[in-house]
Amino acid sequence: MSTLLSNLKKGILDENPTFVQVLGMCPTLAVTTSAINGLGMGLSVTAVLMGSNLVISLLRKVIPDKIRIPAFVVIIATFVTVIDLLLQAFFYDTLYQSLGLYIPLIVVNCIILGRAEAYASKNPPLASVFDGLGMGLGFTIALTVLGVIRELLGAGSFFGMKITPASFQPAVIMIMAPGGFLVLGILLAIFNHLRSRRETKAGERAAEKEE
Amino acid sequence: MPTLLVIIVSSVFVNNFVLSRFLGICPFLGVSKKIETALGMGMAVTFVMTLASAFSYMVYNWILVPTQKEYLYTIAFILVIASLVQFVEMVIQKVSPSLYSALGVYLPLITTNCAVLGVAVINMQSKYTLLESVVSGFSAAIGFTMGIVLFAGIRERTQHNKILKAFEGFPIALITAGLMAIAFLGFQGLI
Amino acid sequence: MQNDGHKMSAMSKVTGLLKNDLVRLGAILFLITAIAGCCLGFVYESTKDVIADKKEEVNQRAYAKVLPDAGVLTKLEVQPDQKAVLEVYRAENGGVAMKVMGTGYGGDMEMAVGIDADGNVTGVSIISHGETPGLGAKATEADFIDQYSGKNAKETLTVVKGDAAENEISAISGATITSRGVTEGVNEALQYYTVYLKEGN
Repeated sequence: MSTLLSNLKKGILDENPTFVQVLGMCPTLAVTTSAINGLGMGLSVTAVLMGSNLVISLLRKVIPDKIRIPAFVVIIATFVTVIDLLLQAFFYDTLYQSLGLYIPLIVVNCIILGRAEAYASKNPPLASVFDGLGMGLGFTIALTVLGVIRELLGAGSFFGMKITPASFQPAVIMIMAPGGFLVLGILLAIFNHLRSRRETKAGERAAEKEE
Repeated sequence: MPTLLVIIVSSVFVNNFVLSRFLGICPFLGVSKKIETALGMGMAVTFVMTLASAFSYMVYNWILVPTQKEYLYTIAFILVIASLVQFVEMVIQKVSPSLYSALGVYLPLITTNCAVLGVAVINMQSKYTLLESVVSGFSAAIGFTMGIVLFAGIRERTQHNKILKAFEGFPIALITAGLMAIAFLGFQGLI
Repeated sequence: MQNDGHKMSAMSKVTGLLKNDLVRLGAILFLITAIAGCCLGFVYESTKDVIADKKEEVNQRAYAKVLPDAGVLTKLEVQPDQKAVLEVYRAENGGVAMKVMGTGYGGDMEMAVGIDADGNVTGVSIISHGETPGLGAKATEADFIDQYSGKNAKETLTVVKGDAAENEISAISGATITSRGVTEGVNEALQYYTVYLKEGN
């Protein structure tokens, strides 16, 4: 049980795929023009990650080592196509259209192949599913935060609801391409800063104890 | 050939893969510390993207469409790209060892470069012909190369500058890329 | 990115060893692909009808919006060699509803255009698009899209920045390409109407 929970925490905090590992940058930057897109992309990736981690973990003793990469890619692509079809069937006029091109591109999201290689191919199914869930949620949170910030600054709304006063002139650049780079760069810097401060504090506390 | 010209200008400048469409960001950030390696990566990507555009066109229009299995395109394209990369690696290794030593290390990374799969999907969605697909793949790759080489140039010059500690590494790289993207917005009026 | 080194060595290992038992490994990979293909075939078959219904529903809703009080719509054959005109319907009241395509910033956009019996545009509605939310996606909002209502089929519309005169459409600020894409689609519809659909033709 504790492995499962620590797997969740690992994905969301300690090894957050976006803020710590800086993986899967293409969708992170491309779809976060609004909060709902970030959330939708994050959840799609989470679903694919859980599915692919489960199947790869189940098949880890069957797939020969030499062809594991192409085999993983096929399994991942299968799950991505399933998600693609499901989104078309149930969210055609909303999410499916705004995520567009970036749905098939989930296949080459380095996070998914990375987890398959680093975790699912070496660990039992249940733990792998939780690893996928944790990483997926970490990714979802990062994308949603980025989406909320960019949407608020660039369009003056929150999940599509206009919340800023009419006098607020949205900075359109924030939802255009440069805004993605700038907001993520600043968020990463803040994350780095907080982490290094936590580490120094932990170090100070350890030093105090020694005294 | 006005359409071809529009495709070229649009994929090199206006819809530049890295700076406007956010495709191929991983190598863009990862392999851009030196101009030399950036150029190597760019050449390898150009090679694979041009071929991948042609082959994925053939697979899609000559195999998937006649058999009405269009929904398998994601799997088909990624298999085409993975085997292409493998094949190109073997051929270059045999034919030109010097080229292999220059491009070899970048080739395996290209399978997971979303720019390659991205261009295949964009070609399909835009219903390009075979020639248009190849031109689109090639010029998108040129756009990628231009982006990554320029970016590496800026990074080489700024790497010893004093900046806030929290911004070291990825944050400053992203902000640099953001400023470049602003510059590229200027091309929007071209088409 | 930290997996790259890992992947690289794995990949070159694949290349090196593949030649030995190429057939066996190939067979296993083929088997995995075949099973994956079958699973997908199943999912595709079971979602196919839902997706088709959904798309049709979205289309019909758009037609009803751009051509109010149309009554029953009768589908007409689209003339061959039409790249931009996708579907044409004749309404009971003599108007037509069309689905046309234009190219925006984020790829193809599909829109419904309604034209009444006198050749006036009754409305335009975007069916699908890949434009940036808050920017190009503003094309779906009334401020922009209602500009087309009332324009006549004899005219060719052009996009301008700032205030629009007769026959002109005022672009969404920061999204000129999108505005032009929609206008291009509407112009295609108007032209098709004038050539093939006008009463008396």
